[in-house]
Amino acid sequence: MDSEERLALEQLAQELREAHPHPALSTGFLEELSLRVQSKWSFRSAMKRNPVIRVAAGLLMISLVAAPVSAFVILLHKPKSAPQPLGFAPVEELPQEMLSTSAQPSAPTQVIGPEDEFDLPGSWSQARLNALERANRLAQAGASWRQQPSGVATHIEDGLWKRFLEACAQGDNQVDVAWLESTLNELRALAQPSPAQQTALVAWNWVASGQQGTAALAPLAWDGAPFVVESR
Amino acid sequence: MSSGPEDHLTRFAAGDPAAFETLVAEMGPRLKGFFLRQGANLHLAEDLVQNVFMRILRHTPRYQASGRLDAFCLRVARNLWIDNRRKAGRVFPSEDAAERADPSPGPDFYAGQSDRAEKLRQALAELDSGTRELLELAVLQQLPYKEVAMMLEIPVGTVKSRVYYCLRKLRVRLEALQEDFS
Repeated sequence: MDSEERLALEQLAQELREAHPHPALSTGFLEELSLRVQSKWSFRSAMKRNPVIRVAAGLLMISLVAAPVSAFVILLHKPKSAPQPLGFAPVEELPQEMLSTSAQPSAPTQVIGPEDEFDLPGSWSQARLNALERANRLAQAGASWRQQPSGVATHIEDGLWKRFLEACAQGDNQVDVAWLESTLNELRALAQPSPAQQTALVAWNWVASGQQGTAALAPLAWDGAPFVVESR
Repeated sequence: MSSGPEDHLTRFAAGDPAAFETLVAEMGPRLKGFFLRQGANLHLAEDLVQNVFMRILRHTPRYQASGRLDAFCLRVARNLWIDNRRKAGRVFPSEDAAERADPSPGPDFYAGQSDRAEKLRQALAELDSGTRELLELAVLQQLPYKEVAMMLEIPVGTVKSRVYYCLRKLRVRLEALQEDFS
């Protein structure tokens, strides 16, 4: 085959591709797929059978259903009268000076089924579970923020505290782990953090690890914020 | 779409939940186009795409990235299509262009495209199933010849020569269509 013929056929191939653009999926495609995953394997049997299915079904639902975390938890299991501890070790240990000695952190709302259904193989990646917990806590903060009356005083001159409030307001449910860890390390290294920086550290640290701070450590937190144990 | 560390399915199996959605977003339209051009109507095409992802989910724990992920998805799709045709009582895709459902994704999907593009689609649709399949995999889906060879169980050299031959066939058919309308 000479080069001219090769070029002509390559051009024809390109024209053929341009004449067949990939058709878009229908608007409800992902939602329908998640429903099929849910129905083919019930959430309980999916968790028992295949941990990967648990993540797929659970996170497809999180990303598709614009519901507060409490509604999502209700969807997954019946809430009990008292919050159940998740039983996971936190991602990081908070420096002691960031925690009040009298703090009694309340157990975060459980995201994935009751413990007796938590039948995972030993090789399950803690990272996947931590990612779910972080997303859950951020969504919980968002739900709490949106319930606040308008005019709650929040000084948002600092980028990181402002970023937290924006994430709450927008309903973000994803946290970039590398960015979060880098940000927390920067905040901890500050000799004299501003009130906004202190609050940002407490808030983002709670998202990362579930460990709550106090109002003294988060002077700009709104009343009833989930990341402090005492309201102002 | 590559295999190895950047492979969406590998990342998903390792614990990155968003990787599966990315896979759906990237491969879904390609798979839908594949099924439409094989002869499925819009509803069946989307249904089959869903089935592809269901099968992929089921096999994720055993997945090992040893080639391209898009080739893996298309292999699943191709097998699914063959199963579908068997159940419909036809072992091979219909050879009769008129018998196949209109592969168009919708009345306005090709709006703005040239007359030549329309003739190209017609020319492709009128080719035999073997030629269409090869052009689908090697040209439209842009799979490496090595992947196409594995899928069709023929040597790589044979893929290369057949692609050349099929494109020439397509060109002949296209020229005939353009003469008919001139």
